[in-house]
Amino acid sequence: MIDWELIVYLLVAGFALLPLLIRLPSASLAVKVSTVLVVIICLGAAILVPPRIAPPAQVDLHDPAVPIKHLVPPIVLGQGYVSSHTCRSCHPREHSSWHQTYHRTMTQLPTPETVLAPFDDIHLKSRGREFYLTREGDQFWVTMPSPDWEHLRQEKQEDPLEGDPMTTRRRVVMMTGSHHFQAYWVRIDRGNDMSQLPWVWDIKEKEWLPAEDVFIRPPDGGRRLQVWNDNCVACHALNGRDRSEDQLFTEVTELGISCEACHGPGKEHVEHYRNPLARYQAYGTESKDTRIVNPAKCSATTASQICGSCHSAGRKKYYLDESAGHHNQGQPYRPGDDLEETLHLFRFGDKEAESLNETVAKSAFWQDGTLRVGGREYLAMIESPCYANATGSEAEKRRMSCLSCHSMHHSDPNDQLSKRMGGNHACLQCHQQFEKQISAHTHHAADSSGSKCYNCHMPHTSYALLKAIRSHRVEVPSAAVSAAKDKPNGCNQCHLDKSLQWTADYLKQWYQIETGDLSPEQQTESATLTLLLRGDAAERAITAWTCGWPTAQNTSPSLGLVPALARLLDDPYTAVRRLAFQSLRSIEGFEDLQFDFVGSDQHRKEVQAEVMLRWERLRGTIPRQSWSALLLDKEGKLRLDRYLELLKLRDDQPVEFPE
Amino acid sequence: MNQPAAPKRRRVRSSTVNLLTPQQISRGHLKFGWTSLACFCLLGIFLEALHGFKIEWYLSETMAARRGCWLAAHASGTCLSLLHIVFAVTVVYLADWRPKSRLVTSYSLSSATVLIPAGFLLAGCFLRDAKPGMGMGLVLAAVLLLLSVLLATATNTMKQRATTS
Repeated sequence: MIDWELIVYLLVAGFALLPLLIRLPSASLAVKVSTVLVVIICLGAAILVPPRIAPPAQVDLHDPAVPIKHLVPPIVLGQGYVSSHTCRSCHPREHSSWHQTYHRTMTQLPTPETVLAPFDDIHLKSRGREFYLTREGDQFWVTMPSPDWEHLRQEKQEDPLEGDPMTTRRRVVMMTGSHHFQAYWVRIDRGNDMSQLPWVWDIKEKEWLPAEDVFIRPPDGGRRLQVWNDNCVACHALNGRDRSEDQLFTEVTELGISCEACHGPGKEHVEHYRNPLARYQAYGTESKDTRIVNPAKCSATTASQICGSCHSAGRKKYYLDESAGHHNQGQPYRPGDDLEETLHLFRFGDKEAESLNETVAKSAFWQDGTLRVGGREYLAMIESPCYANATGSEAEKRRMSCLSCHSMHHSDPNDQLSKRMGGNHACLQCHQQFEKQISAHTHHAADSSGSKCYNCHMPHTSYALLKAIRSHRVEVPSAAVSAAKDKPNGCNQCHLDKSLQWTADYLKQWYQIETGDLSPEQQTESATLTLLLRGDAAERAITAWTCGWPTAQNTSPSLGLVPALARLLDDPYTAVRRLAFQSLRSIEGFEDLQFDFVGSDQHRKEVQAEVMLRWERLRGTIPRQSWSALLLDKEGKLRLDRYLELLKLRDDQPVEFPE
Repeated sequence: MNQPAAPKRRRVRSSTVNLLTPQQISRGHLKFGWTSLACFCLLGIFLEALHGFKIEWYLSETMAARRGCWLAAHASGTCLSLLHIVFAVTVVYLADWRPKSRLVTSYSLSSATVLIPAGFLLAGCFLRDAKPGMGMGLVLAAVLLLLSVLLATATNTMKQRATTS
């Protein structure tokens, strides 16, 4: 092969130095002409050099010399997508604001800067399998049970935990998450599929957590093998699709959630505005560019659907190429389309969802139809009166959308909330009548947590990211719904020691909301305590989190709930144990508690006993007026018989929240 | 009668012929300087045009090195063009500068003016893993050449001042 680069360098050096070497003044013109020619040739070469060829499909997974780009789904433009690099040249400010978001860093390649977890000789053990994490230079490796073997077992519908897999070394080739958790992926020998390391790094707590135990899933759930290419690719990368050969190979346009995920394919827009005249023409006009989608200029419905294409759950109605099979061609939905034309949304009671996975489908909703799993907020938002009740010709102008509160470009990356939308201003945009007399509406002090719209109308009744999060179904608190559907409400999430009757009385007195039929227990016993003891796993998890919520702790004596939290340290769901422990540690007198939520039965019993011992010493500080509701007798001692009765009523139907 | 012998053609070494006068050198540098200034301004316009037409292979994120190199080529070329004009003005005042040294310095400046921008340009053309290519080697060599020009000119300027005074 001719090394053209070297030849060009020699030519340039020769022409430039020739006059100097032979001291021939007449060569000056030749130098000038040659230089111009060389420059033209070089520029031409730069323009005509073809892009790098796609990496080979077969790579040695154990070879550290293999470039990482050959191990992960290749970046391939196409289908009208141009990638965020192209957007940056015209929209640097928007690119910059997006660049700061956790959407961008949702999927990343491992580098010392992007890997947040320690990999320096870390030993991890989960479900009898050992993992040894090491860092070698800028590479991250895991010695682990062969993921190929485990996936093969699963394909044969055999338990991957049984048998003795060969130990293998795999390089970490990709990560997902950079905000709350970081998950790590290694390649398996099937197409370019990547399997998740069954450990996640908790960024805030700075600890490795076993992924199979820390999320809410039935206790007998067994091994949970995740493949990035099957599920995550749809929303954690741009335009992920499979190229079919003898095996499926995933390709993406960009890793992470980038510009075109919300704005749609940009090729037509880019080609049109490459012409400076077209750009100057556009500056002077207000007309909408039909070549690209701008969610900020879309109707509330369309804008929300753009977010909903990922923040929902459903089944694709069709594929772009039906003959190509399940994964090919990627998402049929494009921003600006009607989402429900391409996606069958799984709403409450959806039979198709239940037929696919009954446990997951039933776990996802409260019995009143409110979504209770995070990450699918679109399904909750569209059930809000602010969205659903906006009807008539002016509906779209009045309708709430995701962008009413959130923004990708003008917000805090933490929650993507626009400026001032972290407080009451979000609701006061439309409900201005309450602005000057908020206390008259809330019956709480204006600067108290009880006067925060969110706390009553968007309570923490969803679950995701190992904590309770705010429901995105804007609603009015109802003791009747809580009583009938075992759903927590905003009032009792702060007033932990109060009964549903107490809530119902105030709601009737202040807002004329009907009380509903309450059982004798609901009339007298703390609603929070009841859910902690006899709720299903999701109710227990959400309520356990609530006991550690600082706003609730400032309002009511969480010490009275310690015996119930102690019970949850031995909950069948490991995720519930962890939440109970975290809440316990936030209560004065329990800050130094040590607990391993996947520890042995003996360990759990010992910690339970220690908690109760400490509680016995502290229980005298619980206000007497709360004793009855908190199931304490007249002497302030625990009514164990009632505790056990409630525990027997515990809802043990399986619950699973896919995260 | 013998014709008088024709005078012998004296062979003259080309180096002697080519020892140009300061005025000739000055004129050459003025031509070179103004012409290259025009060329490098054109390069600047070309780079602006790449921005204007949003050319992918120049503006994409992975081409930051190319943009940097070509911008450096434009900037260094323009500055060196101006240096030629300054040199052209300077050289006529330095009558005591040894002709051979003056000529070498003159050619060195011309070579550096070609090599530095060309090195940057080529480094931007032939990127290596999104980093500047081997053209930076040319730049380094040419910078040494340029340094020798500056030192020689400075030295002779000082000598000249001493003689005049």
